[in-house]
Order: sequence, then C-alpha cells, then structure tokens
Amino acid sequence: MLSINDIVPEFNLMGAHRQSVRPYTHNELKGKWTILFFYPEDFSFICPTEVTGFNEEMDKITTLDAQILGISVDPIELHTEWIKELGIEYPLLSDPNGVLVDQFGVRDPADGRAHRATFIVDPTLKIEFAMVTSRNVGRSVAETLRVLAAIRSGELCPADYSPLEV
Amino acid sequence: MEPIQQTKARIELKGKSRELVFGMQDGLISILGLVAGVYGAYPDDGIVVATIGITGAIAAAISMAVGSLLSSEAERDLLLAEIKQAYELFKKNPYLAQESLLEELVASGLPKPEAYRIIKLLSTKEDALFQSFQNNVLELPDVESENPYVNALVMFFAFIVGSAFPVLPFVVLSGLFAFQVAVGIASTALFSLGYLKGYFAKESPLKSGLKFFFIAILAGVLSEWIGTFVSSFYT
Repeated sequence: MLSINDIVPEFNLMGAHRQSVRPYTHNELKGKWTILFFYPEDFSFICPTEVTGFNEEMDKITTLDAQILGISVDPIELHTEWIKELGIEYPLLSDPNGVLVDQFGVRDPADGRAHRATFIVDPTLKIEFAMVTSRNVGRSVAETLRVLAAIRSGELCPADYSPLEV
Repeated sequence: MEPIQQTKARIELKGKSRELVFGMQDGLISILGLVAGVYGAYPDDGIVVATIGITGAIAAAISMAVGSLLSSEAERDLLLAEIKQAYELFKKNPYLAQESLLEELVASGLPKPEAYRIIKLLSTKEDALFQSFQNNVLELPDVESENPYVNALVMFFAFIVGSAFPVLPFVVLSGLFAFQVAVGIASTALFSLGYLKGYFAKESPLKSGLKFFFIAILAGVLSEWIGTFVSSFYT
C-alpha cells in the first residue's frame, strides 16, 4: 500500500460529478490539497454513511482549500445513479479494472473491491496521510478533516489537536 | 385477490393433510400388524383379537395425538427462540441486516440500485425490514398460525379411522375369514390412501398406491407369522 512521501501514480479514469461524466487524471490533483478516498461499493449501507459524511462537510473542505475525490471499482453508470440518489456534490471516479486500486495497494482480495482507504495528497502529488480500515468499519470524516487541517497548519500537532476549527 | 386466498387455503389444507394421511396410514399399518399378530397367536378367539385391536387403537391414537401436540409445541418454541435471537442480532447490527438482505436480493436477480431502494424503503419500518431479514436472509419461516390442538385432534381421529379397517372385521366376523377380510380391507384402504397421496404430491398415484398396498400385505402376513411363532413357545 502506498504510504506517506509516496507520489500518486499517473491515472486516467472516468469520473462523474453531479450528472456530468468526463475523464479525470492525476493532473486534477496538482496545485491543490486533495482527500482521495477509496470505498468498496455503491448502493450499499455502510459506504453511503462515509460518502454523504464527506458531502455534508463540503464547506469545511472548501474552507481548507482542498478538494475530494472518491474512487471505487463500480462502473461509471452506477456512480451517476448513486450520485443522483445521494445528492453528492463531489466527483466519484470509476476504476472498473482496479488499476489504480492495485497501484495504491488497497484491493480486497476477497472480492476484488477496494478497501476503505483514505489518502491526503499535497499539491505536488505527494502523499501526506494514509489510512485504511477494516471493511466493516466506516472511516471518520471528522478525523480526516482534522488531519488535513493539522497538516495544512504546518505546526507540530499533538494527539487530537486541531489547529483550525473544523 | 381471490386466487391468492384460494392458494393460501389450499396450502393450509395440505398442511392439515399431513396429519390426516400420517394418522390414517399409521393406524392402518400398525393396528393391522397388531390384530394379525394376535390372530396368529389366538386364531380361534375373535373377542381377544377385537378387544386388543380396539384398546390398542385407542391407546396408540392418544399417543400419536399427544406426540403431534408436543412436537408442534416444541417446534414452535424452538422457532420462537431462533426468531428472538435473530431479532437481537438485527437490533444490535441493523447495517448487517441491510447488507445481507441486499446481497440476497441482488443474488436473486434484482439490479443493485433497485434492491438498495427496496431495502431503504423497508428500513423506514423496522418490522418490515426484520421480516424480510428473517425470511430471506436467515430463511426462518414465520410462526405458523395453525392451532396445534386441532392438528392433534386430526391426528387422533385419522388414526382411529385408519385402525377401524383392520379391527372391524374381527368384531363382526371370526376366524380365518375375519383375518382375510381385515388384510383385504386394510390393503385396499392403504392403496387408496397411497393413490391419493401420489395424486396430491404430483407423483405416480398407481406406484404410490401399490407401494402402500404391498406394505399392508407384508405387515399383515409377517405379523401373523410372528404371532404364530411367538405363541408356539407357550403351547
């Protein structure tokens, strides 16, 4: 699995943002802080708690001058329907062959889907934070935002310290 | 909705017919065996054969009815315990119920978005979601609404009716002729029962009838031999 200081590999995947579909490349990440998160599947019951969790915090993500991208191995058509279903305001990328999932080393061998993995990437595509949780446990949106804010502050941050009100 | 009501009534009747067929079949075979055995031992004493046949039939019918009642109650209690345990699991982890139900619906051929929406809708009413989880994921049936006492009564009377066929010839006739009539009537009744069972179970009625028929013949003849053989030790 890729870890801190690794560089995000090149990719070219179809992504859906609201109802528009277009190719997304690694270049989308350049010049901006990015929360890149992998999740197992659309139309399930744990994943939407995370996907909508991030969606509810879009204002805070924007305040931190960051963007967010979700990735799963589901087809782009399913992403479009899923976005419409949940009202998601950020892009979901489709990696049907799991190429990027494998490059990040976050594929669950049990069913070929992605683990719940979260990466915070700096504007030069360098990974600053990497975390993966068990399939049965949804990740914490608040913790992800706290870490992003902490990294962006450039300070030395003790446990649970959040330099910004996020 | 009339066809649905008719289908439900038919299914319920079939459930009852289990007790009916089992009771009659058991009454016919076991009491035929009993009276044939006693006849083998006391071929000249029709009163003994008839008395043992009648008391044996009543005792066995009571035993069968009680057995039916107790097994129905035990089955019901076990099912209720399983459902209670399933409900605790459901309450503790509703996401598990949703995910597993989703897997089942998708496996049954529903497109994933539709399956998701159905479960989301079911989730607005806890009872509906649990019912689907219980039936589709855990494959636990609902607790049957039929009365176990009614089933026990059906079993009792079916056994009495079934046992009447081999006993009555010894009440009104005597000797070898009574025995022959008893075996003949019981075999014919069993053939009819087997024929009907085959018809309702969509099997070959003739094959099923013949199977029952030969079982009756075998039970009658074998028991008569055993009765004769055992009694030879005391004479």
